[in-house]
Amino acid sequence: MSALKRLGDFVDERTGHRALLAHALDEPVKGGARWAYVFGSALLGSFLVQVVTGIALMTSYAPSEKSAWASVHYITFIQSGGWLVRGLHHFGAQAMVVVLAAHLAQVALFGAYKKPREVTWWLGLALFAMTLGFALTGYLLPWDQKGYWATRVATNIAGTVPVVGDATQKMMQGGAEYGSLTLTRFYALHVAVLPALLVLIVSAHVALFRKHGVTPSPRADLKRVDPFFPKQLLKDVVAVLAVVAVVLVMAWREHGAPLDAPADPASDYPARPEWYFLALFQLLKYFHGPLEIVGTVVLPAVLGAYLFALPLLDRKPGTALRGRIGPLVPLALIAAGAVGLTLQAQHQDANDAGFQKERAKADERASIANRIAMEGVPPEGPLAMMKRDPDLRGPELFDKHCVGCHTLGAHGADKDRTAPVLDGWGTEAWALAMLHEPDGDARFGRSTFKGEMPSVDMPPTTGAPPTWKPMAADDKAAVASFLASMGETTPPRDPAKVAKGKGIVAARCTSCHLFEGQGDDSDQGLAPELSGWGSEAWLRAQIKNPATKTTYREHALDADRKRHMPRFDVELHDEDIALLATWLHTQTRR
Amino acid sequence: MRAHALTSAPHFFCTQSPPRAGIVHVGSVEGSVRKAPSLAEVEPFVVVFGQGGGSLFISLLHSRIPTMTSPRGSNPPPSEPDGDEPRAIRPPLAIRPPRRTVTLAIVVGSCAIAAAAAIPAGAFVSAPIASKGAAGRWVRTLRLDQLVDGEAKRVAIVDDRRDAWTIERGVELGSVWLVKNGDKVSAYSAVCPHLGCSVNIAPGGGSAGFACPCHTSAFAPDGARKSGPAPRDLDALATRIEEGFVVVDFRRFRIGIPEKVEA
Repeated sequence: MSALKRLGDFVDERTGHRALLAHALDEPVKGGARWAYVFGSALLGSFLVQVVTGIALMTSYAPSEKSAWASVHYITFIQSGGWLVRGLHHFGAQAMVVVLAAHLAQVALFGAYKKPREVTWWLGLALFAMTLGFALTGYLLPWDQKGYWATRVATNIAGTVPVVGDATQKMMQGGAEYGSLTLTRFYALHVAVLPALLVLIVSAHVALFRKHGVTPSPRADLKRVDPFFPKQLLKDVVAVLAVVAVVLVMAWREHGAPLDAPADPASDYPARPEWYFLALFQLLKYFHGPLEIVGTVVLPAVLGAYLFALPLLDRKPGTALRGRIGPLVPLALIAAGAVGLTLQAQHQDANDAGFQKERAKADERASIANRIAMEGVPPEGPLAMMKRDPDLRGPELFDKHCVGCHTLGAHGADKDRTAPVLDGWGTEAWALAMLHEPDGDARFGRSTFKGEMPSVDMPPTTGAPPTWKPMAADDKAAVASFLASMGETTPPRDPAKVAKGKGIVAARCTSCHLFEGQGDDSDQGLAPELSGWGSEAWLRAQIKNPATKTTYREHALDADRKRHMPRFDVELHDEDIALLATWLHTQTRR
Repeated sequence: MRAHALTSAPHFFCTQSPPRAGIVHVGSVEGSVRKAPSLAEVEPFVVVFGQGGGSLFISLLHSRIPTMTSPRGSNPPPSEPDGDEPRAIRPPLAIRPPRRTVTLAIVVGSCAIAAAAAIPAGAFVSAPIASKGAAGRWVRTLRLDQLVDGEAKRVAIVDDRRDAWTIERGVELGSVWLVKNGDKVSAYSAVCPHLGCSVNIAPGGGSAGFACPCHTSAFAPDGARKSGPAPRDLDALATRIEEGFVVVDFRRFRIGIPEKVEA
């Protein structure tokens, strides 16, 4: 006797495991092993993958408003193996929904819900609901925009259910609003309550299945009986392998699972649920006002009631499909409806330019958030992190405060513009253009300063004084080079040229401009300070208050300059002004 | 109660019918019948799935096993294999070739499924093993003139911290003991090298040395181990004076071993 066999004997004598194994493996499969029977095992197999990856994820996930997104970001982008574990869990969940639909379809087509298997069917429906519960609760856990907004819609729908809705919603959310308790409750549901219930119901479901056995197709040769092992088990293993392989490939291709920007209750976000809820989402577009509840509650409830009643509706003996068409017609309609609604929802989004634009904006925000979080997230949470990032905060502030007069890149509309185009502001090219034609349309042409600054190389239209002569081209180039150099942090410039330009500015521009605080005629000129022009510090000063000697001079906001840039230090914090200046400084040079 | 000869090797039986009787199990323990329905109703078609001599095969027997009877639901007494009974069974009509490949495929497939989930999960969960403690960092603490010669003083080490996903500015990372001696300052980690409790001043004041409140390790004012279970002296840290401030090279060391090794 080999040592292995002796060990087996030892254990068997004490546990009887061989009989148990034999019981499991010898289940008779009436009519022979079939591929049609693999879905239940495939579901169990993918559930086990969810359990293993889920427990692994629990070791790094931190369910709180401030840390959930940051910890999922850490799992996805920093911790080794995290992207794959989360990818498997994410796509494994979707695979379960697909296999579940296939399982339900197979059972319905084979008539496996019929007497005496009604309870097996009902338990299966409960498992179906619980799987969707897993999907719903899990979707929120990363606390990103996508999960946050989609789940808010779902809990609000729960709130519209008559009588119990309000209490249900408050129970789920942990209060009237989304907050700290929402996440802890969803987490508890996802990792404790639902798994425990699922294991319990799956056990009953499988036990009942073993009690009644498979439901062979009416044409099957009933004389043929395969034991579960090896033929059916082999098929089941192949099916689980196929599901796992698909999930692996998807996780690999996406390099994990997507992570949207952190949940921001103040943002505008084009919320969409996960694809398997799209049909329900689309349904809501057709029911308005008092009929709303038809789409949110009544139809799903009718669907559930029909599925529950199916074994009671279909009571004629025999499982031949021909005799069961009546009871199965609604199921076919539901399936077709779900597919149709899903396709329509996708079609509408694909052809909705507004949605696509919003989506692109959200994706851009997500990628920036994911990038800056690589440096770590402050304890105040990812939103605080994003508020302190010029790339995110800058465009927001610009769109809110600056596009009324300026344009920059895609920000602002040219028809509304009354102030310079800011693309290229602070660069040598911009300085050259300004020296040549200050009243160009992109510069002072539409502003209150039109006609106030003379060109250095074109005679004034009002007639040139006899002493007027254009500035030499190399002098002009030197001035532009010097002006651009002040806003640059690492100037790869010719120092001699810059010095020459500086000399010219100090000597020839100061009859109007200030330079390093000095101007001719006791600073009586009205044109802005040129030292530091183009730098972040100059921008900050100008945004805070243009009417100081640091930028556009003391009289910039006088009553006769109605269209002049206002001061923003009354409505913006210093921190925001600094972020805006930082963003402008890089954006104008792009 | 009798069993046929094949039960001398580990064997499982199942029959298709009668439906209510379900499965006939002959346990793998020699000669015992685990669960046998009333075989009076068994149709002559019996599937026997067995394991003999280490290889697997399925045999189809066109035979009643009238001798295997037992009241349904009761625990049959174990029976000895009866060499006289094989006559009751005709030889199998078809003994299929061993299914080693199928079994192997099932085992390999199951292992592949388990590996697909377990390997990434295992790598993920064991990622911290590869993590390194924070490198040493020079942290400014008190002004030199805030220390009294020979009096140990505990100071907090405040610096930025990167911890998993969190980045924090100006948090207390731990504390160290500073002992001034003229214009030189010694610094000792306040973590007991025994099991990591926070070391305090010994009873008797700032110049009496250090004592660990957990397991009574005691250290001299210069950090040397005096008594108790600590495996080494207190861990000394490098210091320097910068613009009148004591700056400490804050590090952590592995606990519980005689050598001073950075964590």
